[in-house]
Amino acid sequence: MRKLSIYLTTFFISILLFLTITGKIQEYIPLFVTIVVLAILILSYMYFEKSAMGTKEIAVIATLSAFAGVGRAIFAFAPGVQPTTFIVAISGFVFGPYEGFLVGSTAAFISNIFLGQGPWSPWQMFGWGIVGVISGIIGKARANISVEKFSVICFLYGFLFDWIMNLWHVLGYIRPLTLKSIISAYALGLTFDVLHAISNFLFSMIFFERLVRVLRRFKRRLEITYIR
Amino acid sequence: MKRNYNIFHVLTLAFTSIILMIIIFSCESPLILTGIFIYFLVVFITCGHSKDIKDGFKYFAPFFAVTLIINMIFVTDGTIMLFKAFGKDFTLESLIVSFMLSFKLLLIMYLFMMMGIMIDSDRAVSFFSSKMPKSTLMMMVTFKLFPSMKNRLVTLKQIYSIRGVDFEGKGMRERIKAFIPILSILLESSLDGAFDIGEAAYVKGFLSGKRTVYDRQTFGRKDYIVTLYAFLLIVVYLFFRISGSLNFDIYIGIDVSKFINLGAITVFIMLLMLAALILILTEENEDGLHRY
Amino acid sequence: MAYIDIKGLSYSYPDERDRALKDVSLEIEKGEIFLLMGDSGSGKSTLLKCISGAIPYFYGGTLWGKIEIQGKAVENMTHQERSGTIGMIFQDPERQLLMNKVHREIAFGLENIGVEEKNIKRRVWEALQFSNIQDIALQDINTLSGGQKQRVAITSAVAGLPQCILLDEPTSQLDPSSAEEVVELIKKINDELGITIVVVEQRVDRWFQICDRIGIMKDGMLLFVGTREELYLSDDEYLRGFLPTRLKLAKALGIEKMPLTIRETRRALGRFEFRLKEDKHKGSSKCILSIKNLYCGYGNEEILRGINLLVNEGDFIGIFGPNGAGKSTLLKSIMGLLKYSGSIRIMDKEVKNLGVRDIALISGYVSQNPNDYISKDTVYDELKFTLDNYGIKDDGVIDITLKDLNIYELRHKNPRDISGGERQRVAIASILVLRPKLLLLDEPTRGLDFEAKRKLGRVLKSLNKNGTTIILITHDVDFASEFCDRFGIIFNGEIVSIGTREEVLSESIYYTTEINKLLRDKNKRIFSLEQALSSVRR
Repeated sequence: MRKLSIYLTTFFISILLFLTITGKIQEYIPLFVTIVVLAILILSYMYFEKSAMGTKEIAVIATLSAFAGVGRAIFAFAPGVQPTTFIVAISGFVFGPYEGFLVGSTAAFISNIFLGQGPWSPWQMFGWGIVGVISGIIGKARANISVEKFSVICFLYGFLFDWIMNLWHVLGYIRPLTLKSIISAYALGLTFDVLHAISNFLFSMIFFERLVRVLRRFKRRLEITYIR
Repeated sequence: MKRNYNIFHVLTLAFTSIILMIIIFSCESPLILTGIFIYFLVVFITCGHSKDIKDGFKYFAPFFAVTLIINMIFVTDGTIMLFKAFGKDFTLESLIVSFMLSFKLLLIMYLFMMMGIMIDSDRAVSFFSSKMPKSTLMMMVTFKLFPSMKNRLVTLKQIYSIRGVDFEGKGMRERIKAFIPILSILLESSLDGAFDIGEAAYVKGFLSGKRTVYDRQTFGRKDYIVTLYAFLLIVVYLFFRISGSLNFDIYIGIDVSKFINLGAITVFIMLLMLAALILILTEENEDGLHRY
Repeated sequence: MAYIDIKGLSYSYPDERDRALKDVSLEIEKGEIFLLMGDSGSGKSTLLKCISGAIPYFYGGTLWGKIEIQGKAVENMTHQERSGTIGMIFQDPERQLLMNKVHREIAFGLENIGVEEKNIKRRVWEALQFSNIQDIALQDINTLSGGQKQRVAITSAVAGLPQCILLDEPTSQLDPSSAEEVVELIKKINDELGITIVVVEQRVDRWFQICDRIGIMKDGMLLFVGTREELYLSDDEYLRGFLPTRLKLAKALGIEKMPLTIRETRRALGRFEFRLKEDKHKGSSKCILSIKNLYCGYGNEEILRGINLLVNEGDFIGIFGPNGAGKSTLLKSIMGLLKYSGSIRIMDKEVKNLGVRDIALISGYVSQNPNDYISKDTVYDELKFTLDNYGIKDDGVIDITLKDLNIYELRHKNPRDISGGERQRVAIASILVLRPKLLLLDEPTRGLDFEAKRKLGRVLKSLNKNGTTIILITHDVDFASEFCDRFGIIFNGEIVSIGTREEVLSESIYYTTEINKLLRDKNKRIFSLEQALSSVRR
């Protein structure tokens, strides 16, 4: 698998090089970014294969991913209002950046099997993955962060995630790519972004302490039961 | 008769799809894009998924609107004026460019839908579990948990509505608050379950040593044929692309030779041949067996 | 030399002081079926995990003593060796199947232990044939019933051709028919393949018939090891509590030689007569619930097909029926949780026209899983939560309810730390605190041990005496027969029989107690051990 992916990556990178030689660089940004996103996703799962994580971590990450994914299906009362972003954030916060990335991307991939895969899938995987990573870094730096601060970060995640999600569409299908056109494309989705951000904030304010306590307890159980 | 496209190796499909994606992204020739469109139509229709053609439009509609509007507003070049609005000129060229971009978007939607049809999930699982056992197991467990968690949530919602929780409360805050007990219970009990799942995998010997593979997927003759053909396609495409004969800049002027030229025609025909190739390879004889 | 040789085994879980196992020594012979029993928390599952190697290699903790399998210490075996030698089946079918399709699940274990690739397919399909489940081989596991899932789990263990299969309460989550199938399959595996079986179970009756030896655990210690006859002959009251009901009867009647089969028991009882005094039925005629021509289902699937049911105030009804017959659907439709056609009237009010909150004040409902009701940190808060949601002030009703259910002393405890039986009663209390006139219970005894069931039954009976009408659905005929006074059977969404114990159980082919089956040709009206003993004439 490793060899194969090296071959394939080299192949596609050379194609990209060829293309950029001939055309305007700006035209190939979308293709380039798409392939980078795909490569990051594939590499992170390949790294998972090589990591020391065992059956316990697989089970915990899978469980958290399913939990986060189900959130998307159950809160249907307004677009953008779902606990998924928040659940991914606390998973990363408690278990670490890499685990957070896996929870976020797995949740997106599996829930899309039920809700519909599309060109947005890799971006969603990436977007929630990033939310997990950032939260993981925060968790490492400041484990005793206050609810309010974390909620503000969750508020920002609303924009971060939505803006990453907008990318696949804007980069690929908006021409010319100028600051003005990008801003107005983003402005179109602003209401949803704000809704998402506010709901994230509320989820965090309401659930943070309670759910983090549960997660920490399980993390402890994971750790003490370890024999290496 | 419905054809079965599930006979290809996952890698063949992944490779072909990425090649098509590169072409869609980097190509401005309407003829080539039409070729890809025809290829998708052939696949959808012959495998009994004509409904997907319509569904694709449904997914596509909201993005289409945004694409069209934004592009129309910001593309200001062009000479053939259509109308003036909000103190801005809307030109035929900008309309065409917007349509082209939207068309590409539709093609990308179709590409993903086609992958869903052609990838046989069972074979894909076999393949990935041989290469990436941990990730595959993780995905499988998540996949299995998803529907059962969803059902559990429905049950919990019933129970807590009986216990007096109001899920239809006023305002977002109240509604989210109503989910406190059920989300906590679901998280706690699922994590409890995670230990059992982990133990089951452990006792079944997962990660205990060298694994073997059930139902190992082989890269067959038809896979070599399609992969090589797709490779040839991208090489030819790149050749014309680099030589500049596929450059299609509408603002320089609308010219038939820009639409239809040797490069565009060659790639177009190659795409049609790809469709034909796939049809031949998936043809079944009277006994329901594949020729290749 | 014994096949599994355990000497001086003690174990404590990580972060816990108390030992879950205390100096256990046990020898299990090759090819035997060993039945391990004990109340919940007695350490029987822990012992099983020690043999499988999950303890300590998965769970951690501290282990003293030794376990050898065929002369080789478990600690000297590699993980792969262990997995190839020992198969394990868990209680919850949901949590041990990891793949999406049945055939893939069975192959999963084989891949892990590195079975040669050319042999995997053949082993998968042969194992499927052995268990006679080829028909579901290509199905999605999510679509299977609990019993089918458990057979898939067993098949996947068999495919690995282990020397030994460990089963941790494999039938406790199943209905009786599925449980029987599982027992049959295990017997076949032991018979035909010579695989050693160690099974942990609370419900003894089924397994007693096929096991060779029995071990009984209490508080982490092994109290008894011996054959069935030895258990029968034991004078220890506690140990005899683990005998199947028919043998308890035989023992109490002083039959010296253990009757091995049901047939022998019947023969041995031949010389006894059972005469029962007529007992009067209390009759109330005030109707509390009336269901007429009820149709209900999910989506296009119709589950209830024309239910008619009248429930009088003070009734205590037990409803039986196979899985999928519509028992749970019936309770949910009474609670107004599902759309239905026909009529359901509680205290003369049509359910359709009431909100769930209005219904909950007159009719309570407790689902199968008591854990669904545990959301707070103390038992008291759990009850208060319900009251608060309805805006009702606690004027002592919480304490009364807690006392009614005999859990008053647990009021400040965390409901996560109490036993399964107590948690079941907390769940009921959290609903009962609204003082509904009608109480609906969905399989309240699932997973409870003998003692916990008995306590629950008594509590329910006294609630019923004090005026709460109760409808419970259950697979446990013995339990229902002891405590309920009316009985119903549902098949295919219809109530096919309803009436008194004599009307329903005495005429039943399947849904009656073991004692009744044993004694019905002498006296149809005897259902329980107590009745039998009090009515016996020598």
